[in-house]
Amino acid sequence: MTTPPVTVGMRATAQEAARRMEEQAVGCVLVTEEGTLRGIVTDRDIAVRAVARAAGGEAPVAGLMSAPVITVGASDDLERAYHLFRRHDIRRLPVLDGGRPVGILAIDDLFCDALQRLADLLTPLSWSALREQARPAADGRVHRPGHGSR
Amino acid sequence: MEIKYAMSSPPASVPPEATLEEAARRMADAKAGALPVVQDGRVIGVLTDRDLVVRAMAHGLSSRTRAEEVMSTDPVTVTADTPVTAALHAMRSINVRHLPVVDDGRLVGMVSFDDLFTYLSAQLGALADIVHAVRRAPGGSPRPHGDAPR
Repeated sequence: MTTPPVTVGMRATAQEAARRMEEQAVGCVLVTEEGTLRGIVTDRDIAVRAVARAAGGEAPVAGLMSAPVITVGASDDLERAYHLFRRHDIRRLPVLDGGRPVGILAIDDLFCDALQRLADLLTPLSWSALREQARPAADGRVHRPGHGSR
Repeated sequence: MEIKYAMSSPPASVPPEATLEEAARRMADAKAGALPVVQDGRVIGVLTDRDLVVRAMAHGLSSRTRAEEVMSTDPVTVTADTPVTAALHAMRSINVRHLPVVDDGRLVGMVSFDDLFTYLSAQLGALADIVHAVRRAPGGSPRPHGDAPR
């Protein structure tokens, strides 16, 4: 995930949020109030909710953000994150720890995780093969498991 | 496998003199994150929802600004017969997630990272179908065409 998350306050304007996105090279900012997550604004939100409606840079982010925010806990399983992406039309999940946002998990991050799992299946040396290690055979020669046809 | 199997068509587009407000509305209606900017049928640029935010809103440009002032120029394009691998390479080398698809310079579609993700996932799905078919075979016996892969 991306950490720490980029945040703006409830009184921030669309232009301020846009500037943070440019400075920090991110696609979304979290809207917080005294450390508590109140909403999330993405670059697309600013495009379709502000620019498309000819709203100026002074438009408050509170009117552009999505709320309540769908989040995941820092100690939750990745399974929970996969489940939330499957269930909701979102691309990013703020991660909360003790109720405070500590990072953002994006679909891109889970894509890399899923790809790593595929790579794990492809590699000739699996972890189980390493754990079994080479077992000395009765003839004293060493046999490596997992050398079957693919 | 060529781009024509993954791309979206017909694509939404805007003329260079369209305002950012019009472009944002077109993006919202078409559910597109990027629009080719087209003049006399030829693609002269690409405008993304992110451009509207970090190039325009962040700098206080009004929504009446013309698309041609904010778009990326000299866009890299692909054709319907471009192999998917070449499109992947192009997206990676110029760090974009959308490519206009042209035929003799004329716009015929757009292909996005999401389009390629969906397409490639469908290929993996087809591989999974083979696994399921083998498992469903009566008694799990090998098919007449030779040994089933393990």
